[in-house]
Amino acid sequence: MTVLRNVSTPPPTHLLHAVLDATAEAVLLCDEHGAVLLANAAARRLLPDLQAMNEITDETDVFELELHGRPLRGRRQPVDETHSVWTVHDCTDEMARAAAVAQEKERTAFLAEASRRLSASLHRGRCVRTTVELAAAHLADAAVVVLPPARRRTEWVRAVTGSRFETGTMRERDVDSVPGLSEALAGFPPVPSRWLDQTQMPASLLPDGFGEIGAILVTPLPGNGVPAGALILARRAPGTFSEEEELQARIFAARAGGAISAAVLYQEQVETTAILQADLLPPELPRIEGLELAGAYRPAQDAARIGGDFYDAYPRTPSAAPGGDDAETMIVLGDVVGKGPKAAVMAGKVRQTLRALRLLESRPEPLLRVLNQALIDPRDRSRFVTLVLASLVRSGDGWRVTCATGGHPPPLILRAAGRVEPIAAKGTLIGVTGPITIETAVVELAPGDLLLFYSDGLFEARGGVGGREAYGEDRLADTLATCRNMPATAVVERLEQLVSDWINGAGHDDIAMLAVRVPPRHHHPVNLRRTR
Amino acid sequence: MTSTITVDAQYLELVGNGDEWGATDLVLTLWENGADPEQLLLGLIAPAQARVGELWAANEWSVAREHAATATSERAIAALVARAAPRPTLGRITVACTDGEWHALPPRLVGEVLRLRGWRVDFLGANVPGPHLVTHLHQTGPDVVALSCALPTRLPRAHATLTACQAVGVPVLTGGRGFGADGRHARLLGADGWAATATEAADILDAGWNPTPRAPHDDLAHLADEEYTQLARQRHQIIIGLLDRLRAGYPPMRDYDQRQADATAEDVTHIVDFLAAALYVNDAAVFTEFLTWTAGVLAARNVPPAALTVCLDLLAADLRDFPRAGDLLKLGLAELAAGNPAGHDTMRPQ
Amino acid sequence: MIDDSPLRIATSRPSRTTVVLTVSGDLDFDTAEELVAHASQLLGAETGAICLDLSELYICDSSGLSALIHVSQDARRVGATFAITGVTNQLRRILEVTGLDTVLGTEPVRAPASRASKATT
Repeated sequence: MTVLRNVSTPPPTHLLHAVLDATAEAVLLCDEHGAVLLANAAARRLLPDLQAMNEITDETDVFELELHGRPLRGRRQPVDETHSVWTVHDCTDEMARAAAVAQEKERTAFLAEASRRLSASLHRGRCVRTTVELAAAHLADAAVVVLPPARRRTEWVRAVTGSRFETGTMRERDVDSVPGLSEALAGFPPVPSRWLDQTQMPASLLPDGFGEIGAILVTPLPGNGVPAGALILARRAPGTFSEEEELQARIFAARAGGAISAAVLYQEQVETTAILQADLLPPELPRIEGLELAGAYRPAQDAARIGGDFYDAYPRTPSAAPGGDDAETMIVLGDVVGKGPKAAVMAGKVRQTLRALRLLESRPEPLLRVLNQALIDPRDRSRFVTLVLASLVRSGDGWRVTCATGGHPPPLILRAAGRVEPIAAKGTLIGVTGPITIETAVVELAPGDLLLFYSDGLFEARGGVGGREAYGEDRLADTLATCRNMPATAVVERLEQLVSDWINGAGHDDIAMLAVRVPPRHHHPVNLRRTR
Repeated sequence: MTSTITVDAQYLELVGNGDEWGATDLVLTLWENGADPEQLLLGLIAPAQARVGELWAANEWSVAREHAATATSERAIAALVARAAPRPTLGRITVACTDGEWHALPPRLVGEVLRLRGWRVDFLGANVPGPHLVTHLHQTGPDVVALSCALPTRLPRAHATLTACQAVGVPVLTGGRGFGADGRHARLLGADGWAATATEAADILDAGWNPTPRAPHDDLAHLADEEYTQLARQRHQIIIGLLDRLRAGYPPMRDYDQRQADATAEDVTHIVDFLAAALYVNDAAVFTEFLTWTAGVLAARNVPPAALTVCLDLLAADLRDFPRAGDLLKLGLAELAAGNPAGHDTMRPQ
Repeated sequence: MIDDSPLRIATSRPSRTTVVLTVSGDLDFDTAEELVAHASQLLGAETGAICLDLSELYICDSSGLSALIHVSQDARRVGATFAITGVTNQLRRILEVTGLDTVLGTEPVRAPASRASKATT
């Protein structure tokens, strides 16, 4: 920097003017009336009509205004009693930068919001719907997701800004007619919007009355190797897509594609799992003439619906062989050691085995012995199952029940009069040892009597006042006694409710229950007196 | 055709006898004679079930009879809707009760009304664990979850379920008296919507309800004092301590059999749980309305309300360091002393 | 040692060939494997007898029973005798219902034997 050698001698006027002209800001010297005495080059450029300064600067020391398309900011500084200097700044660049930053922020915020919403669901339909809703709210006037063709039809999901989403299908040849769509569905890189002829867009893809299309943008939704679909964005005329907007649409499409393909994978696995576990779920109980059946099942693991407890009911089946015995009505309820899918698979095996064996043998005891032989695994004798088998035959206006247990708590009888009786059946658990002992019990059920099969998860449920007390067999019997006169469904529901309240949200083992009730004799029409 | 009054009485009579065949037959006959199925659900069956609840509270019907009546109505509802509902053409809706919540009939009626109006409904029933519900949402992708909560004591779990649904992007329409007669607890917990009745819920959905997705609202400022957290965490110890001191102060309790002891434990548990719920939603009415209602139920069974007062006094001593809980207990005692008769719009702990 | 498992197992050797495991706490789905692993470590060719003292067992579910069967079979494999003692009323009821009392061959071993084995420790 040059040192000023003699400050008392000012430089010549033409040099002062040159200094003023060299500054980017407009500089004006005004008198007390606002008349401009001196203006530098920038001032002459920004404020060609210098006399107008008078109006702008009257009675103020600062201003911000737009003149000839330029945002200007001015500030007055007094120089002496009568003169002042205005400096005026052209804010065009700053404003543009601020706008760009704001836009960038908005885009980042949008993409963050999009990521949050897109990653929320694992359901394809919901992901696609979120995609079009977000796109129609932020990227275009209309957004259509076209899904990959399946069975020669192509599904689409559409949202138009400000209205509800819609779905539909299109034919193969319609796909080809949308500019860039078949390429996007095949996973080719997107074609810039300006190269797409929006007039080729089939009218059916946008709702009636959408208006003239200004521009379309077709972007692949990248997926697991193959595209998860394509995103079509449309703007009404005279709108277009800038390069930044195209880039943003592509980033958005990448995220949406990722979410949709994850959902597709999940759905495929869910479908496979559903097929595999269909036979492991508690069955829909058959209608058996002269009996009410109700079951309840609560697996230990809340998200799964399967576990090691199981029940089944088989209605009387006529003999397959001519002259052979009919397979009697049979009820089974059991418990495989352990929890979760591993236990459920073994429970499924037991159910399938019984389903077949019962056609050959209706008596519970021999059936249990055969099942035991079938289930013993010489390599692992610690995996076992406990179960109750009961065969039911009509007897007068009630039923005769022959009951055998393989190491399982025997069912309880709730008599119509309200008394609770245990069944004196006893036996060894199944699948551990060859020689087993089984003591069969035979009981008669009269109209109004109910038989409750249950797994030990019911009375071993820990909870109560201290949170550690087992529900217990005594409490179970007491509670059952309060269920007199209830239909089987209500009994099961009430027990389930009381035990669930007992546990109060804490963990528990699998719980299974099956109630079998002989309907009481009803009199029609109803006698109004009886209800008091 | 018999007059409406007779039909109502007749239906109540039939369900009171657990007569599934008779109740179903009556409902189907009315439908075949031109009655509107939605009106049968909400104008005949729902009021009858409300009356069943009252009869139980007044100790006129046993709990067994009440359960039998509900099971009977469920059969009648299923039979009617199976015949009267159209093929679904509208969106898909999941209807569920909160975890720990057993009042399945009101949400069931909501589901059936929606079915009658053409929605595809998955009714998950009573006591739906949160993880089970969320798995269902991922697998079926419904447009809306309709979540029911009849008891304020389930509100903390309802809140967790609510936020879990919103986190997977599905809006939640709430209902049931647990959310408050005016839905104020639903608003506090950040539900997307609330409906007072089944009709209102169906009307809201029919009008194309599509709320802006909201981020789950899981911080409640008033919980910062941790009174709720402490009470919930020490629930077991507090209840055990309370029962011990009750036994010490009330000798006949020592001779209670298991059933009586269980019943007392249950009452004490309810008091603590309703207190916790009132702390959770920061609403004294949750606690005082429960007390008033309980006093009414006890009176119907000739139990003096003194037992309740003693319990609150003991609890107040236990919770000396909990100012918010202390205030609630004071309010509750004042309410009981004033002897307000039952009759509040409130909930039954069953 | 701090052990936060709900299951606690203490080992003692009243004689060179006899192992006594005192099992207390919860023997269930979450902990059953611990007992099996612990016992299999101790069982060797020199083991003549393994005895489980269950007098302080609080919970025993079906996975717990499975573990008892597992240990008894491991014992048989190395030629050791297997016994359980200190069976609480609650556990006795479970063993009776499942028929495991006979399968495990535990009937002869009653409380006096338990005391005897402890006395020698």
